[in-house]
This record gives sequence, C-alpha cells and structure tokens, in this order.
Amino acid sequence: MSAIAPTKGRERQEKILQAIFEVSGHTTRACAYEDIVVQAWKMWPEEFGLRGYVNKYPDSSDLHKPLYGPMKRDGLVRSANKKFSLTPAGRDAAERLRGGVKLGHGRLTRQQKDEVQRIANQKLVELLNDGEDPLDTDLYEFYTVTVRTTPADFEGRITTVDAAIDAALEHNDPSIERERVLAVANARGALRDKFADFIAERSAARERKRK
Amino acid sequence: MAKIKPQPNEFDDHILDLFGQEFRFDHAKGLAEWLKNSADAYNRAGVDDDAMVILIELHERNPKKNSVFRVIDFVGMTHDDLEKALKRWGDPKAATRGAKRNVKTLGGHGNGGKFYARQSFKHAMWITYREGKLNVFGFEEKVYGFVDGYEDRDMDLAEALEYAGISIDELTEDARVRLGESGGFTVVYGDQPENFSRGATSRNIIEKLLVNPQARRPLLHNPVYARFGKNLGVFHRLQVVEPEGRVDFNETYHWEIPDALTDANGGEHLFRDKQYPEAWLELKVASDTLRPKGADRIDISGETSVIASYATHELGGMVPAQAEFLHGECYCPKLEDPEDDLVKNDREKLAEGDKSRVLLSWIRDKVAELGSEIAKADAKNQQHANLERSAAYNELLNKWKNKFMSESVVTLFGGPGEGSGFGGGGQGEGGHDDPDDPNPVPGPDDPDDPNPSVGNAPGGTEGGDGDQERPKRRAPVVLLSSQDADPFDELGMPLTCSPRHPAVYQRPEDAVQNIYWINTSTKLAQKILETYGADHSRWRDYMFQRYVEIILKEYIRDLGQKGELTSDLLDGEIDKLYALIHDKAEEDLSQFLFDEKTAA
Repeated sequence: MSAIAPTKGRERQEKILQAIFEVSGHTTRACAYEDIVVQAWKMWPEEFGLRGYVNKYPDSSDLHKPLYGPMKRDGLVRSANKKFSLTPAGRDAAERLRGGVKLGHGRLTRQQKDEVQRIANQKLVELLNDGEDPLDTDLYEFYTVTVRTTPADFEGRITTVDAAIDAALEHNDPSIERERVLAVANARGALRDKFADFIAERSAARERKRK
Repeated sequence: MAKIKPQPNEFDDHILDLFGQEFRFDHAKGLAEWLKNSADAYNRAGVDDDAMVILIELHERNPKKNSVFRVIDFVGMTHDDLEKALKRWGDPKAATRGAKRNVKTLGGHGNGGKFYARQSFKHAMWITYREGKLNVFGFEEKVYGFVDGYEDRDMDLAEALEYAGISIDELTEDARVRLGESGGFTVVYGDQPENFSRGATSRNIIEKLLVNPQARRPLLHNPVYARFGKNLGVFHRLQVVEPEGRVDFNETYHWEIPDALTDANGGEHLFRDKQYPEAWLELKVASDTLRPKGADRIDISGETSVIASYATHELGGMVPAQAEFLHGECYCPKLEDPEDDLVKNDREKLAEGDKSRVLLSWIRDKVAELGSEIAKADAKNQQHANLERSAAYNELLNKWKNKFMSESVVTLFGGPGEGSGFGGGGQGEGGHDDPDDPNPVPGPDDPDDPNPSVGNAPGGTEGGDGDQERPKRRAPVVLLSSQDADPFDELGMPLTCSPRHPAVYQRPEDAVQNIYWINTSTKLAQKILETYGADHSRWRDYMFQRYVEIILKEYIRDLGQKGELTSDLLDGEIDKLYALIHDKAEEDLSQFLFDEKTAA
C-alpha cells in the first residue's frame, strides 16, 4: 500500500497521522487543529515544539501544510471547517504505524477490502463490463466523490481507491472473488480511459487556482 | 388400368349462389366490378385512357327499395360478345375476348360483374347497342337470358338511347363525343337493390367506391362521372383524392421484394423470376389517420390491377399504432402466375397459404419498420412540446425558489436574509489556507498572501470576529436538459443528459456557477411525459420535487460549511427545511401543484 508518498517530509506526516489517531480515539471523527498541534507536540516535542521553547510551547505553524497538501492528496485525511479527520485509509495507516509496521506494500487491509467490495457491488461495474459508455457520474460513484469534491480530496480518493484495487489485484485475497476484482479493475480501466483528462484536470485544479 | 370416358361437368345452379355470396351486400364492391368491365370494354376497343368515359347513376326512389343503379359506357357489345363472354361463368379470357390488340385487362375470372348483378338486385340487365343492333340480356330472380324480342334487334341509335333511358342532353360533353365516335353503348343496371334501405345512402356507396381498391385504377386514369340521390341532377367527375402526405415523411418508401422468402416451416417461395422480374413494395405516410375510411391499406397489384388488399391491421401480428397512417402498393405479378395463382375470385384477399403468409409477414415487417420511425418522430415532437411547456413551469419555479431561499435564510439560519441564495447571513470567519475552499479569504498562511504572519496559524482557525460576512454565493439557476441552452456551449445548444444521469445533474463548471440541470431524460421523467404529458399535475409535481432536491442540496452544503454534519443533525435539519418548503409551496404554488389544467 502506498499510504504516504516517499517524500522528504514523509516521516513528519506519519507522526501527524499518529497524533490525529490519538486525538480521534482511533476513529475517523473530526478533530480540532489545535488539538492535533498539541498532541503532536506532546508525542514529539522536539519536532513540534516552538523553536527555543520546545518543551514549553507547541509550534502550530507547520502542520497545516502537510495536512492540506500531501496528506489530503494521499487520501489519508479529510478537512472541513478547520477540523481534520482520518479517512478509513488514514486510520489503517496509523494503526500500522502504531504497531510498528512500516507503511508501504503489504497485504490487503480491511479498508481496502471494504473499498473493493463496495465497488464490486455497484451496478455500474456490470454496466461498464458490458460495454456501456461510462458517464461522469459513474466516475463519481466509483470513487465516491461528487462534482463539488475539492481537488485534493478528489485526488485523495483516486489514490485510495486505486491503491485498494491494485492491492486486490496483487494479493489473491480469498475473501474477494478474483472474478469480481477483475471486473472492478476492468471498470476502472474503462473510466480511466474515458476520463483521464478529466481526472487530471480535477486533480490539478488546486495548482491552477493557486498560481 | 381402364381409361375413363370424359364427360362434361354438370353443375347445379346453387353453386352460383355459393360463389356469388362474396359479391352480395356490398354495392361499392359490385359497382367496382361493373366499372372495371366498362374499362375493359374500352381497352378491348383500343380507346385511350382519357377517353374512356364511364357514367354511374344511383337513383334513390321512393320507396327506397325500388332504387335503380346504372353504369354506362360508350362501347357496346354484340350478340356474340354476350353469348361467348357475358353468358359464360368463370372464363378467365372473358375480359380480353374480342380485343383489337394484346391488352392487359382489369377483369380476371369473368365473374365479378355478373355475380353482383345476379345476387344483389331483383332485376339486372345489360342493355347494349352496337353496329345498329340492340341486345338486352339480364337476370330476373337469378335466372339469366335475353329479353324476349331484344336479340340483335335492328334499331337506330336514337331509338336505342331512348329504350335505354339515356338522354343525350344529360350526358357529359366527353360522353357525347365518345358516343358520337363509337355509335354504341352499354347500360348495365339493377333495380330493387338488396341491402339498400334505412340508413344506407347512394352518397355512402359512392364514398366507399372512391376508396375501393378494385375501382382505384379506372378512377385514377379514366373520366368516371357519377350522379346520385333522389334528384339526380348533373354528372360530376369522380376523382380519387390521394391522402395528404405527412410533411416530415413525404417521400415514397420503396423496398424491392426479395427473389425468394422463406416461410416458418423452412419452405422457400419465389416472388420474382425471369418471367416476372419485378416485385416491390411502396408505402406512403398520410398526415391524418386513414383507418376511419379504411384507406390504411396495402393493395397487392398484379400486372394491371389490384388482386388483393389488406388493411394494415389485417397483415397479422403486431404493428405500431402509427400504421394507420400508412397506405401503399405491393406490386408482385408473380402472384398471378398460373402455376401458382394466389388470386381469389373477389380479389379481396390472396388465397391463403404459406406463400401468401410469408409475403404478408414481410410486408408487415416493413410496415412495422416505418410505423416505428413515425412513432419515434411523434415521440420527439411530443417531447419538444412537453419541454417547451416545462420551460414555462421552470421559469415559475425558479422565481419561487429564489423567493423561498431568500426569505428562508432567517428561519433556517437565524441570520439576516440577503440575496436569493442560502449562505448570505453566516458568521464571519477569518482567513485560512485551505486551497480547496470555494470562497477563500487570504489568511496568514496562505501562500498567495504577500505578507504572511508567522504565529497566527493556521489562518482562520481562531475564528472571525463576526463582522465579516461570507461572500454570498450566487443563487442556484435551474435549467432543463434537452431544452435550455447550455451556457458553456459555444453554439448555445441544449445539454443532453443520459437516462443514467441523476435526476438533478451538475458538471464541475455548473457547480462553479451554481447551475443545476433537471434531467428530463431519466426513465421516470420520460414515463411521466409520455404517459401524461407536460400539462399534467404529475409532471408539475415531478419538477417541484426536483426543486426540493436542489434546495436540500444547497442547504446541506451550507450546513457542511458551518459545522460537522452528523446524521442526527441532518435528520432534524431536513425535517425543518421540508416543513418550511411545504408550507411555502402550499401558500404560493397551490394552483401550480393541484390544478389539473394550469398555465405557468
């Protein structure tokens, strides 16, 4: 699984993820930014403390960038009204980190199974496998996004769902029939073929907006 | 094996009653036979089509049962013609006998006119004059023969005309010319017609004759006149009026009949060969239904005449309702091939059998094919009308929605209402740097902010001071798919949704401009429009429900921007919103929602 992209800040992002995991009580409920800042400082004061006062005060200036940026785009967190919550994929990743297991390619997680099962049960998979022309709304349903989903969340969902499908293809998990996994992958192929530009455009909206 | 000694056939006259039943009770059908006989007489005499003057006279007398029907032509028959053609039953050469050239005649079995005379009148006569001799031959109480003293009786024309009850002054000009040239005539008449009483009228008979397939050819190509009623008056030319064609289906649809068709049992039947190389079907589409007049029919033609005719619903199987707008001709002389003759005595229908069934089935397929095309066009036209009507409703609902959303802000959010969209009265917030926020207010950490301030992070998480109102979002604009111009289409063409798209649809560019499309192509929308039409309250209610959906979407979106959404919160808020919508709709939209017929 590719929960966190291998970037320079990857280790820091993993720590923030664990901080949210603690604040949320290991759930996907929303947490205030301030609570995350304080929790991260408590867990790693040297890294998240205010320069010169690392043991006395937290530094709240740096956490929002990974939160709004790569962590959303990787499908690990969601945000609304200055609150952040873990996605199921984010919670899985945090659980793994907490257990000392490094994130990365591994076996199919519960969240990934759920994701693939959810898609496999959609009627659109059957339609697309029967050669039906894909609609934009099929894409939304497949990735559980809407026309109003923000670009980072959109990209996050693409990453999360694709990772789940790729993992299902890679691991012959006996709890999901191979035939269903292939049908899901085939439907994804049809959607990606038709909407490659659209996906790129929707995911890139953030960059354009900020230029 | 011993050879038999051939004997001439013997028949009881009763057999004529059996055959003749087909010509009983239908005067239009019988008169068509007389008409064809006259046309064939002209044909044999080598007269051009436009000089073949035929007069029909239906004189309603008092009492009605004493009425007299007559058909007159200006050829005439000799005693020999009567002996060898008219007297003989079932002679296929009767119609061509004595022809000056090799002619194609309309008559086939040499029976129709005689049977009509025999079966449908108390008396029926042929008064015929040619080469200075008058012959009178006829039926009386179903027995036929020459009238005593009127076989080859020498007579001058004036006297013969007087005997036949023909007044030259009452003839049409072309009839007088023809009489002058031929010096002969035939009047076939019947008196005391059967089945002509009470509501039956001579006008009805003429109207039926005009659409009778057997009369079609003479009526189309020859000068045929009629006078009828209690007071006969002058003759008027009868003309077949072709049904007015439908503007959007104004061509003649032509199909070549395959050389062979295979029936349900695998048998192969030929419809063309070297001797009969041509076979085709042509259909036309009328602007009005042809069913009431029985004109929605396919005439099956042999080489020169109609040999059978089928109303579209008589072709068997299922045909679309639009088939009653179709009429046409199936030309297939192979059906007259003596080796495999399918022509019946009365030429109403083909002889039953696998061959006729497979041909009719093929014709039915073509009728169904064209009928389906018409049905599609009708549906499209209806859809266009429905959508135009819906556009008017949509305008009304858009205005109502704007008013509702503007007025409801106070009730729903407890803030001041401004503008026509939700979200105008929310608490102000400080900036933050969520790059995805649709209404970003620059905050200290926003990379776009030229003067970022450290230590005040993240922008806006501290909350605003309440003075700053969130910029008002544009009120949603609701458009109808397949009807309204797409604002993002350069040519302004309407947006076409798929039936699989949701009932309320948006593209990303629509979301930015807060445009919603009501998808008029969903199965439910189509079902309502097709079944009830746009004027029906069901459709108005459907449109109203889509507006409720849009208002709800807007409301949820606003709630989501104000705080965390939970199922309990949504449950309560939806109740609150719906109660308000329903109350307002009852106040403002009663007529629109409840009147069976209303104008937007």
